[in-house]
Amino acid sequence: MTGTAPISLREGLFVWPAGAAMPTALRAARCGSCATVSFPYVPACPACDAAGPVAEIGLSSEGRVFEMTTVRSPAPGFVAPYDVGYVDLPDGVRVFAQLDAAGASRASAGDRVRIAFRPFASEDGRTVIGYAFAPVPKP
Amino acid sequence: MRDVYVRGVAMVPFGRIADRPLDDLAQEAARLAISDAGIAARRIDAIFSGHVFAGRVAGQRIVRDLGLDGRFAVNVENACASGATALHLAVAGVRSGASDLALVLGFEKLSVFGRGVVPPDHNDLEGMLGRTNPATYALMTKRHMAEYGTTLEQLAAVCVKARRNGAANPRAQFRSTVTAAEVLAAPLVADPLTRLMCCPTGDGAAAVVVGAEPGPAPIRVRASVVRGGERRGARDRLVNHPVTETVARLAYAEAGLGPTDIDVAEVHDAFAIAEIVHLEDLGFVPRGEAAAFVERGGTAIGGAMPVNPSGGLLSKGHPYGATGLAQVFELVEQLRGTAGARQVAGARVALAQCEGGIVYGLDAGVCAIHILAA
Repeated sequence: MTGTAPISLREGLFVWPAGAAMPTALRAARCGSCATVSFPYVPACPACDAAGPVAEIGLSSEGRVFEMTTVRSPAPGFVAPYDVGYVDLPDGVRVFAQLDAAGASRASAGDRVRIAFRPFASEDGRTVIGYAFAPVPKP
Repeated sequence: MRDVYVRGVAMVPFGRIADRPLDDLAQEAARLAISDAGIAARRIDAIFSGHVFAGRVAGQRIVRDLGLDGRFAVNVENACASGATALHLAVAGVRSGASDLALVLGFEKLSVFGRGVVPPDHNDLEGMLGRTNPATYALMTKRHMAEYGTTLEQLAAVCVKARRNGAANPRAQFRSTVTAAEVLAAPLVADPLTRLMCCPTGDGAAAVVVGAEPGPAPIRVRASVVRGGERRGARDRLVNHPVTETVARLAYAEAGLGPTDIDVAEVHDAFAIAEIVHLEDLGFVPRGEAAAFVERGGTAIGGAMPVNPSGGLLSKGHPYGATGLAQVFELVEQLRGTAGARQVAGARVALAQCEGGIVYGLDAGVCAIHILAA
């Protein structure tokens, strides 16, 4: 069955426990020397020359939209309109992502959003899993 | 290190050129530049070819029938700054004495991608997530508007000026003017950028000959600097490109000049916001004030700081490999006094700034700046 299981948008991008249907987090690196967090994961810290250990971590699942835009002329393989932007995570990382709607609600700059892992494409008959963020419902 | 001079320039008009192969365009540019230099082609001892998509060893393929085989030859890719980077390497080669007379070619045929977008490559994580080039600049536009009060009308003013200049440029892809209303009413590409706020895709070629001898009416390369993009942290405000500030500082220092010494500039206006940001990064206008400066005519041909008299990428077009050399073509015309209706009066010192590529986590792929003086 492994031949038909979904695959990551990119190898090593996610924390994806064996047997889990979906990834559980974005996979990043935290430097043991200077605590800089880097996404995607890199085996050596880009911020310092420390030879010290880099820990593999899962990034927080919620953050804030730094800025967003609605794409009207799509990238190949995508259907417009769709929103994209930068999400600031409390881990000190800014990630680029698609911004999905939550019901009728779309995220604007400053809004709290939560990550969701979902299909992005198909490759050789296998579903490619990517990530997006969607608004956290306001209380 | 010895001085380097621009000896010849040429540019094949940009556009969607369905009826001529890319190699034809590049060969024409090469022949015209060599002719403009007034030298025998056989004296060329090095060939630098800037392009992104023209195929392996494209430069050697192109010059094979020009009697230029067997020279030092290299192909240079730095996305939209490929041509400018090729020029930098040629200048470095002449400075060091490795070469006496170098031919620099820039060429591209983006129409092979049809009417649509140039696809991202699979190593581009953001591209795999749906990023487009207009989207990247739309994000910077919104931040610039939020931080400095830059308006859509001011963005439109960049485009109106670009198209007005392009209308006077026989080599520009767009030869008609537009109104601010037309710019604002054009279809949105990535909010708030409309199609007329984005440069077109197209085809073209340009060429430059540089050498150690001044020749008649010398134009000296006062600075030539290239740097890869700089890391953007999570606290970056996304309102400028630090790499352009860095390269500008290095170029001014190399030339022994400052921004107030520049009489005319060609900058990388792939999107309307880019001209505004580059004006600030190059030190022509204080941070946050470039939009208003453009709006009141400061960058017009007769203005206080003429920018993109050629029409810029917005009007002239942007066939990636050719762009950096087309900027130099325009500036050499300006310095020679042969720019006709686009002439900036008394231009003696000119600056060309080019950027290339978008990389997640960097402000840009690369920035290249040349300063030329008559």
